[in-house]
Amino acid sequence: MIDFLQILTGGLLVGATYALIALGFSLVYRVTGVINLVQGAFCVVAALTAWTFETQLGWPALPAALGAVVATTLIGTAAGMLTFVPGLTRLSNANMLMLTAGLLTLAEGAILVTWGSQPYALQPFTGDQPLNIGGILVPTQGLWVLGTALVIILGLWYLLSRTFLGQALRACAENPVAARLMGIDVRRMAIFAFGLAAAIGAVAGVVVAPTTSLEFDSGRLFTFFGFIAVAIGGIGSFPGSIVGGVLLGVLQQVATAYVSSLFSSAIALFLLLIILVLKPSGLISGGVQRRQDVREETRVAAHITRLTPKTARIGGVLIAALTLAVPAFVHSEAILSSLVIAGILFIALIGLDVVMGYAGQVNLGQAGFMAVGGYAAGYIVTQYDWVPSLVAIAAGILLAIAASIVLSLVTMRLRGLYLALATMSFGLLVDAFTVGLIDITGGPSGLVGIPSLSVGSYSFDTPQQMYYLVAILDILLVLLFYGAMRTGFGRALQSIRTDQMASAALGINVKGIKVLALAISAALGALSGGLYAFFFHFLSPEMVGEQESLSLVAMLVLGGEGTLVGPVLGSIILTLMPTLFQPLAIYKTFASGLLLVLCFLFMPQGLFGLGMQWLNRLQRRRSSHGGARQRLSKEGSST
Amino acid sequence: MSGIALAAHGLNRAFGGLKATSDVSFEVPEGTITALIGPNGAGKTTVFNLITNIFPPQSGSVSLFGSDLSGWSPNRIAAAGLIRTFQSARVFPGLTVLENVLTGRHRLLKSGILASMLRLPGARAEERRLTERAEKLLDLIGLANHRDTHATELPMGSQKLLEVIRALMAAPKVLLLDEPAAGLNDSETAELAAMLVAIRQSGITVLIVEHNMSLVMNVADQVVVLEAGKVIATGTPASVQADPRVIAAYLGTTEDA
Repeated sequence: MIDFLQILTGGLLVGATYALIALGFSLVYRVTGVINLVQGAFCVVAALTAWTFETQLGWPALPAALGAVVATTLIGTAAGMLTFVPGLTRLSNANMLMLTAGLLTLAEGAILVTWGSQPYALQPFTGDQPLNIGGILVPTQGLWVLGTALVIILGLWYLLSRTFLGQALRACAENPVAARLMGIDVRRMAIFAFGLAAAIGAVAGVVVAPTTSLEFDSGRLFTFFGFIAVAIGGIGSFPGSIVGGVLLGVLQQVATAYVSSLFSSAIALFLLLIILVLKPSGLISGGVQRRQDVREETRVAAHITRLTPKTARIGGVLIAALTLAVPAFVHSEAILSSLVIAGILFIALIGLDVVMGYAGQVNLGQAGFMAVGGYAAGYIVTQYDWVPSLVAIAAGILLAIAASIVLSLVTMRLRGLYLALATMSFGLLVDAFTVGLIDITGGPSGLVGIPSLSVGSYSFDTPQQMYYLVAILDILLVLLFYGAMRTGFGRALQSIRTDQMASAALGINVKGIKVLALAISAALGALSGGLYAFFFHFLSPEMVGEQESLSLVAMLVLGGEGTLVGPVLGSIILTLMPTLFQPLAIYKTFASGLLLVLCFLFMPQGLFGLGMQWLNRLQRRRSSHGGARQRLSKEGSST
Repeated sequence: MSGIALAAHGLNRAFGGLKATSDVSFEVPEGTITALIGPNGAGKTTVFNLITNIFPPQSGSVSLFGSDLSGWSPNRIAAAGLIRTFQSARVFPGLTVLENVLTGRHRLLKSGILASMLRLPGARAEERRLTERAEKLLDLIGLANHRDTHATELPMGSQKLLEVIRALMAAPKVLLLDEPAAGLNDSETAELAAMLVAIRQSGITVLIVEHNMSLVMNVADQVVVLEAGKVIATGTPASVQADPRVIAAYLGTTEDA
């Protein structure tokens, strides 16, 4: 009994942390309608800043914590003013979600650059001697966590329900347009909400840090569990955030104690999926409904550019020839290997483009499908060496398609951003399994001993051989999907992207097409993952982890969504950069986050889209010159 | 032309305490143009949404050529040949004018994704055929020269006509048009009237919600008048125009009647 109460107490303490992060989510969501994924990063930034103040500057624990909260709040508010708030008026909700995913990556990159990748631990505020309350041991830091959570919850409640500022914030949540007409500065309210959320996250970070250890990418876990808490409780509902957080914390501790700590996040995800299916709006509905099922927006309309068929044909042949000629010029093994990786990732990106660029459905778990395909293929060939490579890859693809169909069926009833979150949960679930199922995946150290890819007796051993294989595969896939995207299937995908109701009214099977699009994405992801495993002869969880999913999205957006070939630019740039500038490799996460944010804000059409626009303009100018000359010569002949 | 193409039987739907429709019943004879008219807020668009099951009726049912549509998804209803347009033009942004029209045909495409990936001769021939047909339809509304324009860059009137063309491309048996003339200028309205007559001639049954009375009186074979969610009159345009209840409810207060 005491044991159980001890576990329950632990759960309550963890739950209080989750609740605090969930409150930050709900606050920003209520005012702006956006799920702000960067929330968890505030905790880590604040905690590590406090560590610096303590150990580098020699400050005592409490002043260091307070200083760190102030600093993080200022940084967070500034980041919100520069990126998040300007995006609100330009981007759809789904793209805002991606923008915050970019911000999260950016923050992780910045933390990595500043503090490195080692774990940190902070001193407890009031010693590490736990209190004994009726036989239950409670660390004093736990009381700090609980007390802080209570103070923040009460303070937030007072602010929102008892002050004019709170009323204004709520008005922005209910109806931003009407709020603006009433003279409320919606922009300032958004900045205020973002800054306040940063402050709450920072406070949570500094009080929690002594109870755990933090690394550069711990922010993702905070975001992830805080988000699950908020989704369980009901997005936008403050009581829901608290209930969700505590429930999740307790459940996790119980699961860790009685099942296994490796699967505690998997159990949390199952809980989330069950609640999402049974009660999609969460346990306590926030009452704020925003339309988020489409990525319909001005930027989609603005960035479609079509090349004339002739230009596309000539360009395609030129690029294909150039691609195949590369090994003749590039002799550096390292660069050629990077190009092979870029080409393999491009396969996953084609799938991601189908589902995100064309069908407008957010997929934040593409690397999860890579993992399914890669680990399945790798496991099969290492266990049964008589199975041909291609059969193993095909098995991985089938498994990924099956996973995508299950995921589609589970999320079928969900609308809006839930697909984004379901795919992200899927990615994280796969993460948990790749680390946890040591017998199959080799655990954190990875799956080793994967042979080279071979077809019959021919084996692709060198980067050159792999390069030709991948290049030809890429070209074939682009040709196939070019055919599909410019005819019926592609049009149906794009109609769904912008208006699902109108699509259904024309007899388009919206659900069926979404399932198909995700299955295609999963299949290409798995193919890519399989090739990855064969090329590296090795597969480890972080190669195909959630970070890679976000990095794939960055490549897609940088290259150009909905352009089919554009993403290859993104994958080449982001893969080659660390190879070309070795000392800068540590900046890779930072750079991909920064690029994602900048692209969403300033270059939504991507590099390829930009190039196409430029080409089209050039062509138009030339043809109008020609027209003018013709008219002149006609006039000349008539006089 | 005999049978009943579309029939509503006692449709009821309330939003909170507001009864949007109560016991709405009417029949649309095959091969006719039936107009659904009524003052603002009478429940016309609600009736459309109930028919196409955008939201289900709380009681009552809809039948299309005798088969009950209860519980059918909007795309299944469309696949049965009942195609609708929306009150505010809903062209697909991100697609060109031609692509918008072609999208209308999607449910009838024969060549699947694999055929179009591999560019099989059948798929290419089908695409060519459809493009020709779409261009002919675009020619009808004078947009043939704008086929590669982004659909959302067209003026509102053209977007509404484009939506009608897109619906036609879906080869409807019954076509539901929600205020197609709203936002159209006089010459566009005349084009629309001519098009409606041509649509009827080609054997397509039309149910139209419209505020433009001269258009309704010119082209409709039958008029159903809704007021406050109830059907108050059904008949030929002339008989409805003469109905004192209709005059009281609607035409009497409308200047252009």
